[in-house]
Amino acid sequence: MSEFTVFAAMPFILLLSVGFGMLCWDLFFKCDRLVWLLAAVFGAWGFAIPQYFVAETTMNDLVYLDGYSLFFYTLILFGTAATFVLNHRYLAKQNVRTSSDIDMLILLAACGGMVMVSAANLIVLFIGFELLSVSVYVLCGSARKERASSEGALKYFLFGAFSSAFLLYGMAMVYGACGTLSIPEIAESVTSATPMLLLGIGLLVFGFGFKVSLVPFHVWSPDVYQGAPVSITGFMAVVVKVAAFGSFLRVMSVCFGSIQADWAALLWTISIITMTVGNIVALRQTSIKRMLAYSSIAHAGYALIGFISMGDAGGVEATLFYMLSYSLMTVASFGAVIVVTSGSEAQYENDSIDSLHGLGWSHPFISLVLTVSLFSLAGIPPLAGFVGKFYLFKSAVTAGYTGLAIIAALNSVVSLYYYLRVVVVLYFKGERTLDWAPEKSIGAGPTIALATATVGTLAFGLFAEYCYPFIVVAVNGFS
Amino acid sequence: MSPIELQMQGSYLLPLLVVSPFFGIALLTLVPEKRDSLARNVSLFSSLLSFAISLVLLKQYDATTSAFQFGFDAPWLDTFGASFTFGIDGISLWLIVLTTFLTTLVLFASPSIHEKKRAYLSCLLLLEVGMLGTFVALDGLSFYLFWELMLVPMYFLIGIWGGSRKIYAALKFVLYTAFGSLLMLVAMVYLAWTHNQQFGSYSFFLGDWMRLALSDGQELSLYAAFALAFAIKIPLFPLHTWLPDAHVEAPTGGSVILAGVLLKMGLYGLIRFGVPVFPNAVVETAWVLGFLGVVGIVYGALVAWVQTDIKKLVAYSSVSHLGFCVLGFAAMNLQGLQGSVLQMINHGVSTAALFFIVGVLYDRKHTREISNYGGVVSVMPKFAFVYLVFTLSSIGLPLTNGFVGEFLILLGAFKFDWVLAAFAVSGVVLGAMYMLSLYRRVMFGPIDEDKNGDLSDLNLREGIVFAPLLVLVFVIGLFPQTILSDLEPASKKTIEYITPSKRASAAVDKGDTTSSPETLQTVDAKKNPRGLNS
Repeated sequence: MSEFTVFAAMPFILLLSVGFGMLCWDLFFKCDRLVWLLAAVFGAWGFAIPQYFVAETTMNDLVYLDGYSLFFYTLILFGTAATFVLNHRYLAKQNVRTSSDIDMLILLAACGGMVMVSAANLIVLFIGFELLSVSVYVLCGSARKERASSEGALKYFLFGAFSSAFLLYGMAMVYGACGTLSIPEIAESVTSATPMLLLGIGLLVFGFGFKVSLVPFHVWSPDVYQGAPVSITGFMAVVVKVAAFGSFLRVMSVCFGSIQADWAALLWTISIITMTVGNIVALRQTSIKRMLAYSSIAHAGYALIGFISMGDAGGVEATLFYMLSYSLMTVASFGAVIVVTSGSEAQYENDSIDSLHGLGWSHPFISLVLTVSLFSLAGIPPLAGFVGKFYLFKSAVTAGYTGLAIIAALNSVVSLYYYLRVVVVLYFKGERTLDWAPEKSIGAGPTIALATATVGTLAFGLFAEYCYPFIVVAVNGFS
Repeated sequence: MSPIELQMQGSYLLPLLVVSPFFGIALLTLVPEKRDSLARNVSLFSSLLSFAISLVLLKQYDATTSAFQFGFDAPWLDTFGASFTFGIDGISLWLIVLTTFLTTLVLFASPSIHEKKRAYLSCLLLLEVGMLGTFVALDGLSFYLFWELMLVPMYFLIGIWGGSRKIYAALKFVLYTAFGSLLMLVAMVYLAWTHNQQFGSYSFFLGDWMRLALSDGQELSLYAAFALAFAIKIPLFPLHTWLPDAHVEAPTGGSVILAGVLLKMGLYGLIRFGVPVFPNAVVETAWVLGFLGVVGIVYGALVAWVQTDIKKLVAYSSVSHLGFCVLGFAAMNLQGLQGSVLQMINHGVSTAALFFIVGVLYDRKHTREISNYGGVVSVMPKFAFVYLVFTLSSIGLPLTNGFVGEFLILLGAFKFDWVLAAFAVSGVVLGAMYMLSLYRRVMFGPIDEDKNGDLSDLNLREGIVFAPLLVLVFVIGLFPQTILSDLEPASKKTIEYITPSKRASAAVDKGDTTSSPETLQTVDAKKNPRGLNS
């Protein structure tokens, strides 16, 4: 029993008690939920900060207390806070009945994500995985009057159930091979790649691959991203993806890092297929939500480069930084899309890229946020997306995968085309001619959230150097 | 230690120069929406500030040394050896002056743009940041940063204020350039990693890259990645197809900057990074560049000849002129290289002026079809004179700037390969033919279109734009030594990078990978025993 146990539990206690308290309070009284939610989120983050200074397991070796967990907590909580802020103003406009149960589900999903990234035991990881998944299934269908939303929720649930089964089966195989479910103990017992272990790793990759939408496990994501209320889509693109990547990376590097040579080829292939399919299919999308869905698939492919080049080449650090920059630019891009599409009455049918027509001149702030985030996603320096790609390329070249870096670079050129197409619609086609427009003034909360993400995109590009040592500490904790 | 010398005088002129346009952008955001002339004055003020800084550089520049001067170093991604390392030699110095000068002119001439004035001016200033940064960066990754940064404002300039096919042209421009530069980025990362292998730390510093021992295969393929990015930007035949589209669709200001400065980036990159880092590969493949350059000269000239659109004609003439610059570079002797750089500046002056001239015509008649003009000389006599001077400068008449550059290039080219040089000479003749024929068709003949009768001559603002360009045509033409003396140490240094390594590769077995850079290093170490002195 460590004296830090309380710190491991406090963020969860805080988040859930505020969530439950609000759920009960909301039955009888009205209150300004946003303040409480933000207080809970930032309070949870504050309680997690001491983890930076330790690196150990706690609660009978079920949970890691380390900088790595803190790093992913930060991203998850940042994404959650941004979601709450944007929901407060825009969720009602997406035909979702706003109430504390939606907030509660988001908090539960965030808790699930945090359990995933800090789990030191595969069963705990699975519990987090399910907590996250089940909450998000419901959230996807929260626009109950919209067919697309229900359809998306059902699809997500069916595919998600499969992925959970794969994950669980993979864990069973790993247990069979290693005789333990504890991540540190697995790490000790894995010395050579037995067929059963490899099968287990393969199934785990399947399971995580569904959640982070790697090709060929991605088929659900465009439909779900398009069908879900766009605020929830943004939440999925940031929090779900980051949490799944965090736990995926921890399992692959801590448990199976020693036999990396045996599974690197599998991930190498998946990485290339994922980024290529994601980018090429994104070229032809007309819906902005589907385009961003395919773009986030492509980005999952880039992030995998770090898995392949982990170790001395710095792949894990590169993936962490990539997750950071990905979160910032995804919050910004989805935030802008939330603001824009919420202005339309028929947003579930009418989410084409053309609906952004001419916003560059009528809505300069939102357009600037979207443009900067898209340039960052495309990897234009000096934005964070560029530095993220640079770190990944560097780790790939260092690990001897120059070919992978070249393919990723060519993919970036392809992606530039569809990102720029959005900019074309925003700025190059003259004044807006559509009969609806998003609201001019978006309120203080969303402005701050979007401005923070945009400034962060620029700042983490120019001053990445100052954040890198923290990432190194986070990674050193468990290696 | 380091094979190049970077004088760290504690001078902040270069970073100040690079960020100075941001000053204007910041002020522009404060200007109220409708105050177009105030916005223009603010941006003009900012660009004059940059121009003044570049003149200070020109004055303080020490032409007696080949070292990089005004050194500046600030961390960026220090863990992986990327920093904002700035420094200039004679070549970058004059390109910087050209950049700030042309930007000022373009901003001065901006009243012809009426829509989204503030955004237009901000784009031009941001473009200036990118261009200046590219010319001062001595660190590979920051060079890449500014190199890519140029794409964004140029994309907006073409896409927002362009002609009818602006979207196609803007996307083509960006995708073409990004394709080359992303491969260059991978090559840069590979070089930084190689430095880590050989010296124990990542580095993107030019001087560090020069110390690397690369095998012949590595050197050639890395150089290929760099050269592809640069060749697209030059643009070298057959990678030039984005240029006519971009030029035709871009607004006048965009075309002037594109022709005047952006087209020099490719050759500048070859001189700054290609030669010092990959001397053997440059020498081995010089004939390819020379050959493609000559093909570009002849092809560009022939295609220009048959154009019916004035702007397209001038755009193709750029392909031809840049072919000369490439040929001079490929010759890799002092005359060729100096001529090449001088011709880049000349081209910046005369072609920028020609695009201004197209802009003058277009502002009045809103057409660029040659057949819609004719007899303009009788209604616009001042314009006719100005236009004639720049036409003559463009075809390289003695006494004008174009002559000196082309002459030096051909001199160098004959030393290099007389067959290529002979074909290049035909480009001079063809250049005279298409440019003079354009002049004849636009300016002479009867006034057969009703509207040509009442075209107004140059106004004061246009006159002020052309006046300094006119002066420059003759100043460079009559006193080229003012520029050449600044270029000489830098050019000599560039030639020296390849001379010892050529000897070394001839002397040793090809399989021996380490000898050539070492030879290079010792030669330079003798020359600059202090290396990077601060």
